[in-house]
Amino acid sequence: MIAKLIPPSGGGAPPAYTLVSSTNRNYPAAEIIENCSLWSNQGDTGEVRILLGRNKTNLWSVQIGMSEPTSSALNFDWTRVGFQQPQDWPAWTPAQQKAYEDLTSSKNTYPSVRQALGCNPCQPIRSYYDGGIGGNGQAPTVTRVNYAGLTYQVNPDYTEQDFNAVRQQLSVEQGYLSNVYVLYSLFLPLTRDPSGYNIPQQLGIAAGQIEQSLRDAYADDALLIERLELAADVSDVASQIPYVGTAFSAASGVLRGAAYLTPSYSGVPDSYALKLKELVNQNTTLGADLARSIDTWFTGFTNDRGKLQTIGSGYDSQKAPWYMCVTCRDSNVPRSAIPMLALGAKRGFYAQLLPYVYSLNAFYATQAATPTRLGGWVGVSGAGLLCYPPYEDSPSESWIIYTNITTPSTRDFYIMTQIKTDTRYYPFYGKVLRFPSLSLLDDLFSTPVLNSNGTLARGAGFIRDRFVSAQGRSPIMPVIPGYVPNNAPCQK
Amino acid sequence: MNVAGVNQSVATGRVKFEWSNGSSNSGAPVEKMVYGVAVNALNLPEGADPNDIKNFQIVLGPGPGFATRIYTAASLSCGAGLNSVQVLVLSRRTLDPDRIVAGNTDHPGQACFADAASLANFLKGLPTGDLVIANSFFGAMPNLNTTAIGGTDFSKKPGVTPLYYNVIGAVGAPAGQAYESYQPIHPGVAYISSLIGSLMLDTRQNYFFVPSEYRNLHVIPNDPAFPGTPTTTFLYPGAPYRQTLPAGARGGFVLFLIDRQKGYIQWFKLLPTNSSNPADSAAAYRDLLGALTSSSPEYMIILTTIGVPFSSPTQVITHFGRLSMRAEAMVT
Repeated sequence: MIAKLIPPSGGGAPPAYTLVSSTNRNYPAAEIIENCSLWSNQGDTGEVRILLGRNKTNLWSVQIGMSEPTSSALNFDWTRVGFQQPQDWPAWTPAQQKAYEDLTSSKNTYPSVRQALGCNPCQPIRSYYDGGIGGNGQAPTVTRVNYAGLTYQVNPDYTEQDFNAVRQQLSVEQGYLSNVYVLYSLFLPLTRDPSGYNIPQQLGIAAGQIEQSLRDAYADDALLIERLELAADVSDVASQIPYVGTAFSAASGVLRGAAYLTPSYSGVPDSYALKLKELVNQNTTLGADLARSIDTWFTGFTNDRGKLQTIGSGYDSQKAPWYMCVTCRDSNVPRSAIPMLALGAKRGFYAQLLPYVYSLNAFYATQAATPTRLGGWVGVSGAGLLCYPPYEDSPSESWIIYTNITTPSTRDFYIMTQIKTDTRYYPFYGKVLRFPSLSLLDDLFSTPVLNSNGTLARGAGFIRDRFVSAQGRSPIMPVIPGYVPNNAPCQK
Repeated sequence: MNVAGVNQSVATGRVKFEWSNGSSNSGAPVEKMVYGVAVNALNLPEGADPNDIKNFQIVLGPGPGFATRIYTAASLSCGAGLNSVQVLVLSRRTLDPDRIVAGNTDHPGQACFADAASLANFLKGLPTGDLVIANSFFGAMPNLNTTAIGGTDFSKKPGVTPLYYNVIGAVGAPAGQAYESYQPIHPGVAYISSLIGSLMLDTRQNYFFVPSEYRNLHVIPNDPAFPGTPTTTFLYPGAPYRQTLPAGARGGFVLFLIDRQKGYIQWFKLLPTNSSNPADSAAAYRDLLGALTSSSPEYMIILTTIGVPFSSPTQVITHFGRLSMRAEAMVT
């Protein structure tokens, strides 16, 4: 790919390319990020936004990588704030603490507070903040306390000034809290939408679109939920969803939460695996686990000063990514990101399954015009030598042809070929190669589209250049030398 | 029983509904768990002497209604000094120290070990499920083995010396499920890398570690904010790092290397491969080739373009063919 970065024919913008990788042999292939303006069919520009986070060995690693303009207004703050370290509430002075306790005390000094809460006896006000989590998104009664209408009752333990300080602080928190519950109601459809437009069902639909032979052969294969975010980056789909960037980062934070908070069989949270068969059959606990992830996240938002303040005030000021609405220029609602997650599942599974079945057979500096004409001399019994072209039946969609860098008059070929081969013995001895079907090639390379109901259709949107651009170390499929019968090249 | 007609009733008695105080089985209010608390597995306060093990802390908290708790080795006996390992054992349900360890002392839940065998045996003997936080101060323990809590057996990794090791794991977890941090290469206080995050309640109401550090990286080749002056911008994390083409150069690459352990920027360099000065071009190709093939595996490489990297296919052939041939050699 790099070698193509020459002056554009006919002028125009210079080509741009970005690569994120490492020389470390253990660097995960899924975290290699590439973007190039020469992949013009998808409108890429070479510009990328990346969220780096700590992995299990505390190394900075790519958590989300998105290209521009896919990611216009992409903002990773939902993940950053959602998992930031908890903070305690601001400390009251001793007198303010007395005023705070008196608001709900059994002395009933401020009866309207107790009435609004509907409690007797009552607990301290902040203990009611998470009372709506786990429900249908309705804010709890603590958001209905009328702090402005409270009048200081003379008390030897605290002054009116103390009382007002407490009242004002709680009033601010109440506003933030109401905002957080509005957002909670926007997140719930990610798992609970009864029409089926929720993450588990849409991922299931996308997984069901994977070519059947691969799907059936590797039904027990599992994809890590964390990988969905890395695999979802296709400009074409993103461009069909208005301002999906922030919604995507919000929804991906929920996925991340499921991985962090769902214990594995050992009892300790580890990677969260999505089994292909279970997704397709909708026989999965994904919905329940994501719902718990949302609940835990929002329990944190309601109980934690730092998160409540950041999210609540961000919503108040209608700033992305905290304020979300279907007409928001920079911040669509979380469910708008579902098609991208579904695409992430489809692409993620393909990237995982293809190397089991296919390799890229490589030829360098060949004189042949196409792989179908490449062959090797074989001896046919009683008929002398024959030029046998093992790639003769390969569909043109399964090749990638480059001009060889060092000898521009020759070509390099990469041909997607099944790893498993057969052998023929008559009328000559040689390997029989098999190639991906046209339906698989179409599903791999055709552009994904959104149906009018928001579900994903057509292909996975892979860029064929990308299949070999990480050659040598971490390609999507293993690159192996091409097959030349008897090592005696010929052209048919 | 039916009502016979309008304005009739079956009886004149009335029922008065009165609310009584609800009560749980115990009659006490529900006790709420803290959803999460902050944690730092190897904290050296700023300016503290790293050669004094008493200065190294395991910090829990704060959290909502959870005051910060600081655990140090001040009361512990650490026979190998800076190369010892201090351990804190907590209940995963409450985050209270497990009193099965040093329960009758002033440091319940805490212990310190001078050698790997003693440590490994101790970890194996702890109750399954306990949360364990440990660190090796400003040193390294030879043949460290924390597999009993989901960590690593470094005796099987010859050549790796885990400096300033710290871990958060659970007793009985399979190897690889703990969170670990250590410095493999660089000695020095600046290279201490601790696990920082939260202990959060999982869906079974047990606490486990969740990392909290995130950084944005935004790569903008040929930044459109600088028309007419080819400029490539990196925003990391939020701060701009820019390279502009010098006079005589039409393009090239910009390399941005990040130390994956500390997040430091190790290298930020413009490589003007398409320069009117052949010597500059040659040096740029050399550096580019070196970075892509020989950079330390501890670094993340971010490579992007500025301007037009190559003047022509001929230039690519002359200088870049070597890289291509190297790639070919890997598969042929």
